[in-house]
Amino acid sequence: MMAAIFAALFAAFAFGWFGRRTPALVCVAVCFCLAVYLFQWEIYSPETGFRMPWLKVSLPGVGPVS
Amino acid sequence: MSATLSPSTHRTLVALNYIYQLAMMAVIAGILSAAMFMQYAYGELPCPLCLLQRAFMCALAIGPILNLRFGPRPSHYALSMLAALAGAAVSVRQILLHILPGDPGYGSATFGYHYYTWAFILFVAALGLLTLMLLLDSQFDRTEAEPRPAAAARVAVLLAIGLTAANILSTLAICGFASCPDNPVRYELFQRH
Repeated sequence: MMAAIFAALFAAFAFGWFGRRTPALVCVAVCFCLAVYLFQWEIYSPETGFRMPWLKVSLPGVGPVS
Repeated sequence: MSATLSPSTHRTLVALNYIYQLAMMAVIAGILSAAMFMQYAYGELPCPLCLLQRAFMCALAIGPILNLRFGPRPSHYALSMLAALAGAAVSVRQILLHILPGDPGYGSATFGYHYYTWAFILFVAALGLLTLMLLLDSQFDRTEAEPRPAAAARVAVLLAIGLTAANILSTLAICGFASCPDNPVRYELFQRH
């Protein structure tokens, strides 16, 4: 998947440089969609989801503050 | 705005814009080359989030490439801004992963900051620069046909395309055909299972 992101970008650069603007924009869109999907997949945890529990702090007597 | 500009002033602005596009390409190529150098010379293999930041750093070049080929347009700058925004988001996530006191961070530090922190600074700087460029309306007025890109532009674009191709091969080598390891220590493609 990661290599596919770079491949889409490579295609976008090549299309753009050779004067094919629309295919270049399509390839950039594909690249962005793949990258956003992969980013979400990478940061997802089965235990904590997309949250970052290590950023939570506790106040004495109040408990965790989210 | 350009109606009040003399032809010589307009030509100067076009030339400055051309130099800006080339400079952007050179900076992006320099950053990507430095990342590749650290990978191969010092064995610092990139993690998945690092690779995503690299991809968005590459994607910053789409604006200058299209500007050099088709002439400056707001949509070209917008594509680069989207890449900078997404890259900054990935960098922030990685900074937050290692923000607790005592966490050594991922990889080595350069001038006191890890690569993902530098990446965040560079993405934000790119966002600022691109926004400033969008303020210059006169670049979008076309008074003549776009000139054929010069040799410097061809070299810069070929360099960007070559570095992107190198990243395809490098990513395949690190990850193989599976998902990329969280903490890569070897090139998966060359391992015998």
